[in-house]
Amino acid sequence: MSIELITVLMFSGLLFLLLLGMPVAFATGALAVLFIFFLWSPEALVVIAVRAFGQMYQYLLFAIPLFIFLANILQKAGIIEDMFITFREWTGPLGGGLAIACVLVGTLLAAVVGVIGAAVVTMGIIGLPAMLKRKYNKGIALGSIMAGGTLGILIPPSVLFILYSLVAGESCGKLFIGGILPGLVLSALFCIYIAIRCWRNPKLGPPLSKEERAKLTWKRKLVDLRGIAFPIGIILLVFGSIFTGVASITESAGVGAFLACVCAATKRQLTWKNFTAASHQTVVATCMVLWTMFGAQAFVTFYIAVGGSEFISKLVLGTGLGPYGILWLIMGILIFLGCFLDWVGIMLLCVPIFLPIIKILGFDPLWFGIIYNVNMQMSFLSPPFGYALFYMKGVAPPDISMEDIIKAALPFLGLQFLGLIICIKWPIICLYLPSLMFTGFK
Amino acid sequence: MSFIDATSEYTGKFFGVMLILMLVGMIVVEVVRRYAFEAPIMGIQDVQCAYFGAYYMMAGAYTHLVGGHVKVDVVYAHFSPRRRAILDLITFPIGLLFICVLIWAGWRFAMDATWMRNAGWVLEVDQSHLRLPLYVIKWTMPIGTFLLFLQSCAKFVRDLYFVVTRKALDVVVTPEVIV
Repeated sequence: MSIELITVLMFSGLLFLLLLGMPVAFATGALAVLFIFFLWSPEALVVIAVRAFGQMYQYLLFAIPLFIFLANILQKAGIIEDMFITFREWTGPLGGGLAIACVLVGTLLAAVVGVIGAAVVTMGIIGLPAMLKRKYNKGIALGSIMAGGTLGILIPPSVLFILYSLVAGESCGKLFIGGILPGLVLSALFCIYIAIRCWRNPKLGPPLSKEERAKLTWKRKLVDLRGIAFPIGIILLVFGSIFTGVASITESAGVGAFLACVCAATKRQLTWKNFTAASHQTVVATCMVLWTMFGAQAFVTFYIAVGGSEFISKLVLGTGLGPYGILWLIMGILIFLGCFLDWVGIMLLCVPIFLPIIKILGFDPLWFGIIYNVNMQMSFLSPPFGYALFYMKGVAPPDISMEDIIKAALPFLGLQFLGLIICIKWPIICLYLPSLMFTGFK
Repeated sequence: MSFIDATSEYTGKFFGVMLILMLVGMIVVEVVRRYAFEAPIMGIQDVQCAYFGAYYMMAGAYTHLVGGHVKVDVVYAHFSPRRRAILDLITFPIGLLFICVLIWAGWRFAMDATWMRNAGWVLEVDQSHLRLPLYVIKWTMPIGTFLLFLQSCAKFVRDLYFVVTRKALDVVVTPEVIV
């Protein structure tokens, strides 16, 4: 069977099964089984299990449940609420201050956890009613929460970077450190956008009233800073150990999870109920990532083994575009896929195929990992399939429709795209911090 | 049916809580030992990896029970529950292919690590200095995927019942999943 035919059959089969509503893990896995069975031999099916066992022995992988657990316990313990209260007091007097506070909570929280759900859900529950009560514009209120929460996967620690480092063989520590500046750039873009919109039209996000401002003395503002003391402590510890290389990423995650428990305990929130609930959510979320990995890995392993990677390389390089043209072509494909697939699937299906092209073109794979992540930011907000949209719909009051949420996401999608352009135009934003890092450490 | 649900649920939850307790405990102890006493335990990372492998293998069924395996809800989500159930009935045998292969391959791996025809009991251990019982870990793959198999069958029966009678067989409580 020729590679063209295999490519068409595999990907149209995948598309078909996914549209029928099959889980990504089973659809990709089943297609891999079928193709291996008919094109190779029944005996070769063992390769699927071999890959699965190989996956068990990746030490880095189980930083994933630890980071997810860390997020869940912080959420259950109400630490995120505290952060919001602190930021609200500082930015409230500005126009659009609450929305900016939401973005800042998202940014700071992103530096503690590696996932997006905890931030979007919690801010949707506490931040959204606070904003709607003050007559904030729906678009600004919803968008700031979703965009701020999505930063969780870009600013390290990040589950996406962990998977990328395994798939691409890049140093996870460097990816983590490289994600900081692009994350801050995006966060700043969101804040500036909100501030400008609310400055030009104060009705969109009215500042706190005089009475409320009078209550906010400097003393109270300073005392309430303790709300962000714990997260900042965890950030310093986790980043410090990764940046200097004293502990592996998994160990930092473990210690971070432990500190989060301590933090919850000081708030008397470390009950058995909270702990088990956080663990149960963690197990489901982790399995989702890992089983998708199983299936997608089997799928892409087969596709690469039959020469799919070279085929796609030839196809893409044969378009006659320059290096940046091809890079943008890849980015376009990723943005398109982001509308329909989840990031785990995109990562495992696309990175192994696109990475050789990136290397042929002479781009830095580390840099590609970071702009890939910036790109994936959009996949959380892009309709029809975006996690942030679903989480938001899950917690928003019933009079907010899916259309409202999607409309709110659009300007922030534009800002994320602008962020992507900035990171591609000035690679130094992504690569400056990793170049300072302790080298020779992986 | 409810027995299968309960098995998946308790296995998943048990491994979920245990993993966090064990891993966080082990990592904290390990880091303290390394820096405070300069006495790390060699090979502890393999133990952690092994636990983690067991964890996601055994919890796959629980994830399936609560509908945690990610789908592409572009067209599917807009269908009526009955049409969704029909589609699930159609895709069930396809998904089963993958699960069966995992059971079969996992079984072969686990058997090779446990018992051989001409050598008797093997009980393969890890190469590291802790002599970790590797065969126990290898058994989690066929067992975990078998649970997943049972869970898929349970879902199949529910869907079939729903499509035929237009009534739900029983209620499955699904907690909210956040990633």
